[in-house]
Amino acid sequence: MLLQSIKLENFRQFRNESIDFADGNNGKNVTIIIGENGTGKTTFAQAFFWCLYGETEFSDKNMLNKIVATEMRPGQECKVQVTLKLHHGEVDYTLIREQIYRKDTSNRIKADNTTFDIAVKDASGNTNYVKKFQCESEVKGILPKELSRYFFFDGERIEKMSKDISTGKKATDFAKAVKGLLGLNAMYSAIQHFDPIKKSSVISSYESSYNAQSNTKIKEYTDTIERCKTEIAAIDARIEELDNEIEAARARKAEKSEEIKQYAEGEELQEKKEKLLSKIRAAEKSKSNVYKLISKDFNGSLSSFFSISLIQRALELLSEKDFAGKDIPYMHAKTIEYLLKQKVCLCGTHLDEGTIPYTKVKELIDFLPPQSISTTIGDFKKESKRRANDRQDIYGQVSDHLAVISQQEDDLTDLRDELAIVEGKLSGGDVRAKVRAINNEIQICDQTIRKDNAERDRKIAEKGKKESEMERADTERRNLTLLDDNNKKIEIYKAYAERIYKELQEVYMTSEAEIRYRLQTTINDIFKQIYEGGLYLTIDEKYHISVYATDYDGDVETSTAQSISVIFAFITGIIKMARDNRIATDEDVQLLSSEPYPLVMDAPLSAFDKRRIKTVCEALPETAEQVIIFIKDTDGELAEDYMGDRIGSRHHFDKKNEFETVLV
Amino acid sequence: MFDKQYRFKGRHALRVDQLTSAFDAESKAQLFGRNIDVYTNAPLIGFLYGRTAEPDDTKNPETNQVYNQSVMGDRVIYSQEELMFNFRLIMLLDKQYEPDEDKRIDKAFRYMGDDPKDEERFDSYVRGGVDVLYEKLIEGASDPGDYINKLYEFVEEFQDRFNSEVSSDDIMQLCIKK
Repeated sequence: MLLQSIKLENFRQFRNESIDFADGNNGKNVTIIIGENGTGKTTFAQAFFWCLYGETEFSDKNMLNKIVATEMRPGQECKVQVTLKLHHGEVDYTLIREQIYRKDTSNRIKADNTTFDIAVKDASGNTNYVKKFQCESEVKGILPKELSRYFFFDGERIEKMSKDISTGKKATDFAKAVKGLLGLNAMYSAIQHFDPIKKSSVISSYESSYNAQSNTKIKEYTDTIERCKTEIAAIDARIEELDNEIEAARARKAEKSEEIKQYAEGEELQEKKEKLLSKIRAAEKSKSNVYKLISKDFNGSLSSFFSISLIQRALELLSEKDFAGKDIPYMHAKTIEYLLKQKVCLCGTHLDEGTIPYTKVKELIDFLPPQSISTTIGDFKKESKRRANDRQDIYGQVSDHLAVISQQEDDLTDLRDELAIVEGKLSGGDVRAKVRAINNEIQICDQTIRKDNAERDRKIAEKGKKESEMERADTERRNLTLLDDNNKKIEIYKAYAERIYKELQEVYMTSEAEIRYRLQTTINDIFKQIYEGGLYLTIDEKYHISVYATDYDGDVETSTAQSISVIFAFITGIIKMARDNRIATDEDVQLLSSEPYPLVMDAPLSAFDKRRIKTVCEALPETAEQVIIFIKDTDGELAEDYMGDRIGSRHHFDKKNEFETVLV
Repeated sequence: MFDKQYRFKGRHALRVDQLTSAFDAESKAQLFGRNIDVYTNAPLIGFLYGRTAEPDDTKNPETNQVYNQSVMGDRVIYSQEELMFNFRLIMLLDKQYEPDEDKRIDKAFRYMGDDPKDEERFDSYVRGGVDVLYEKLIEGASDPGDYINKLYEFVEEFQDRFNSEVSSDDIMQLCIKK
């Protein structure tokens, strides 16, 4: 299937827009459609889906353009139509999906069911319409819906698929996709056609055509065989159901066990964190105490510390002067002033102003307090002595304390580093309650696994019994049929059919294993190209995909970009192999070829960084035969840079308003 | 002299407040215990670093009043001897203020405080000292560790610059000398 064009009429914000796709002419197989967020890239991509399957992923199922809807008059009808032209097999298809919208008198818009038509133009140019009731199955023949998700995908879908891949979910879907796309379907159908368990199969039809007239026992045995087949089919179906349930329960258990490990560790970490916090608090408190000691020491010796140098200088200055021997002990200047005022000395001499005795007595004031220098200097020296005695080595004390602080700070840094690591590991919340809840879930998973396994064992035993019963009946019947010529013939035909069935099964299994191995190799090649090594993946027989880092043993938890690379490689790998098969010269390989398919991607590059975008852009047009990319401006420029010579058609979305976007 | 309330004003009031605030919430450690401790020691530092400062009238924008930190009168009186001793030290040694040695001795002892200019000179050293203490101990510090480191650097610098050559024995000898 290669897309030729799409035309949208009144489909959401597109009133009448169409695009012709690059189809690989001149090596140009890329169509690029650039638009800012919100311009309608996703809507446009969804139009493919709507046209093919009548479905979209929009929550609002109303497809009619809002402006058209508003302008409609009551009773008026309007049409939403998407026309998709594509080439598939040897013919050109035109797929037209239409939906009529009506406005009633109370202004409500109602939609009819969609109608779907397919026009087929064969190689000779004749156009025929596919009968209505066959349209859906015709689409299924072109591209089954379940496979379409590998060719039409958007950023969200790709992320979800990546998650499914990394958790091992949907492995059966992948298996189906691989088988469907790599040409195993024909062989698979052939096998189904012969499958003796199926009532409508070739082998079954032989079985039901034995002539029972010759011997009533034959009918009896045939009935037994038919009954056993039905029962075995039912048992097989149940076993498959049980297998799926067991697988799901195991996956869930593994997931929860991983989770609980993290929380169990969390509990220990929580305790460790609390211990660390209390140690840090204690260390900070003792550091604080040292601060207090430092300030206490400093405050306690302020006066001597700041004054001691001045004291020495002052004393040196005073030592050069002689103030001794002039002071009169135990007398005060006030005493002299009193005597001068009374005008009589203690000895009775009159102290009249201007007389010699008056002058002599007055001169004494200089040698009495407060002006008597030797007394005050004496006091000054006393205080100097006290301060010299009080002098502490404050510098030494602060230094010692600081050494203690330095050690404390080293300890604190270690503790805080450790705490940061512990906190980083802790995810927060009440760890214990979570652990209990997860444990309950694990127990439920265990119960399911136990119960299902027991039932599975019973079913297998039951199946074994049924098989032997069937075999017995078959042998008995064979003995009887050989007695009748007609039945003998049928027996021979049936033996041929059984042989073909066996052969087909063998070829199928070998081819399937080979395809799986080739797919693994192809994916790893592409994966390497876009992820630049360091990682590889394996696909087991159940299509579980495991991603490994080449440096480590065991599964790697894939980051979003890595997971997306995986799914990218997966899809492009399938497409590349289908293509390789088609162009192969080996007939056997050609048997496994399928149609070419386009890749229609909505914002596929947003999860990648620039470097990865380059490798992806280079890998895509090489692997897929047709690439259609919806992309935002910034990534679009990069994509144009890297895929320039492969781009055959490019378009821009121009958003007129919320309800209308046109293509330029 | 030194018998009544003393007021720090403007930026000096702000700085005295910072010098006497707890810098560590846990231990409530302070660089200076009380305003009086700043008042008694700042003049020595101002003098030793050769820093005087004019009164400042920075206002609190909320109240439009000049910032104010006071040392209560009884506190001053209680520390009077210490203040007088420090006053005498400065008067004795401030050659820039009074080149004549005998006059300095008179300013320190005989006529201590008689000249109002002397007290003004002392106060300008108080303010200069507050500025020095602020620059050395507060400016740029944001956590307790910073304060302690600054204190250590200041003590170390002070020790090297002024105290390393001072011997207590010499002082004792000088005191005995008649």
